[in-house]
Amino acid sequence: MADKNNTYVFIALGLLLAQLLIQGSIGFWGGRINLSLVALIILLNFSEFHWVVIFAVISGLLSDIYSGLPFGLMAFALFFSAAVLKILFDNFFTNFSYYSLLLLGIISVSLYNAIFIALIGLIYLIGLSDYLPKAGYSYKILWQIFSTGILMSLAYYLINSRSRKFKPVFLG
Amino acid sequence: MFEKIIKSAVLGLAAILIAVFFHYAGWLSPIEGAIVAILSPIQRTIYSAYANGQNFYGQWLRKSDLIAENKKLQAELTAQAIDTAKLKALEEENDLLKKEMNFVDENKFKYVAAKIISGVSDPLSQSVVINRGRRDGIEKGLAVIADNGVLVGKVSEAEDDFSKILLLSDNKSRVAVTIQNLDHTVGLVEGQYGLSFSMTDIPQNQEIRDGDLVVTSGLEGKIPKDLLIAKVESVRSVESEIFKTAILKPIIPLSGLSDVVVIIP
Repeated sequence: MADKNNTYVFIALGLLLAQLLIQGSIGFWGGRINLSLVALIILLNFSEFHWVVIFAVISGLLSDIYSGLPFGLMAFALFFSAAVLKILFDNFFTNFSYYSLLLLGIISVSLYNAIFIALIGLIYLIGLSDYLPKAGYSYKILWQIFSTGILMSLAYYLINSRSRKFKPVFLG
Repeated sequence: MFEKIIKSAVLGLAAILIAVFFHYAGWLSPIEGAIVAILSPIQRTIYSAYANGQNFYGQWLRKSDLIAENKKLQAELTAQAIDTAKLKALEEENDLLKKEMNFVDENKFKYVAAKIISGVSDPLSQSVVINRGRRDGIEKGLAVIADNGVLVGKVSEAEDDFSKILLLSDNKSRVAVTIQNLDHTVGLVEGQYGLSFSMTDIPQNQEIRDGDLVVTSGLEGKIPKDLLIAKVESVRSVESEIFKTAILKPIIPLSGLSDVVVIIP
């Protein structure tokens, strides 16, 4: 059990490393893929909640190092997303199906961006930052939802090819 | 079970708050510097590969009219370009550094040459991260130039071993400038939603022509005078308004930068 848990933690750390290497560096399409959220949902499915929290905090803080926004903002956004996703996972998405994984992925992107925008608005009001989302920001969210959907599908296929953690069929 | 979840959440929240406090106190600087130093070689490779690919695409493939006219020749050139890509990239980098060195030497500036490691992780700001920091004499507000002395941005944040550069195209970017026209019009160049930049609040009586060059005014203490920024592309003027706006065209594209120089006055 501990070994399996470690495997998913290592997968999550691998995705985090990939996220740090590509973020902001490979243009609009590549740079806005959010691998941290994919890793967060994998951990949410297979690991204890404290691993999810540790991952959210470390991933957020590492992203903050490379951010032009006030330090801690991305960590808070990821942490609050993880907390809300835990509540949703425990109460509504417990059947380990492809659809629950996919839906959780899509919700995670929407949730993360909603929290991120709320925090940006808050610090703008306080006067700590001059940034507000621009008109084209919705395209970034749509692209993140699309790319996360594809990555969740890929994660489902890869994890199911190695184990029977998820339900093996799409419908049923 | 529920108690464990609450405990984890509270500890996580506390960890973030402590990290934020440590960051602004400067105590996290060595750790942040070490993380950037470890990741920067791979990040820089990815960033440069993407920037070179983008430049290559912009210069060769998007000119479809030329491709149509010179299809056969273009194919040969492309094949050669692929064969010599690595050599050419090194030559270009060498030339660029030489030009930058000449520029700063002629003007007797102190300078720090830096490489761009990556873009930033957030989706709102137009910034890049460079591999030089406070230990190299870099501080907030210094001018950052590229390609023979063209201003591309300002240092927005300086850590011990790395810094963040706010590009001119960022919404938050403001630089005091002068237009090289008869009136020597002064004003501020502002970023335009990450796409371009413009000069606002220009009095209606100032005569500005398309193509006029825009340079730094030297009114900002940390930015030297006469650094080239852009040229005027068009002027938007409404008679009933007090001020007019000049839309500026960047001298070099800000998206494909890989090497820059920070000027220390």
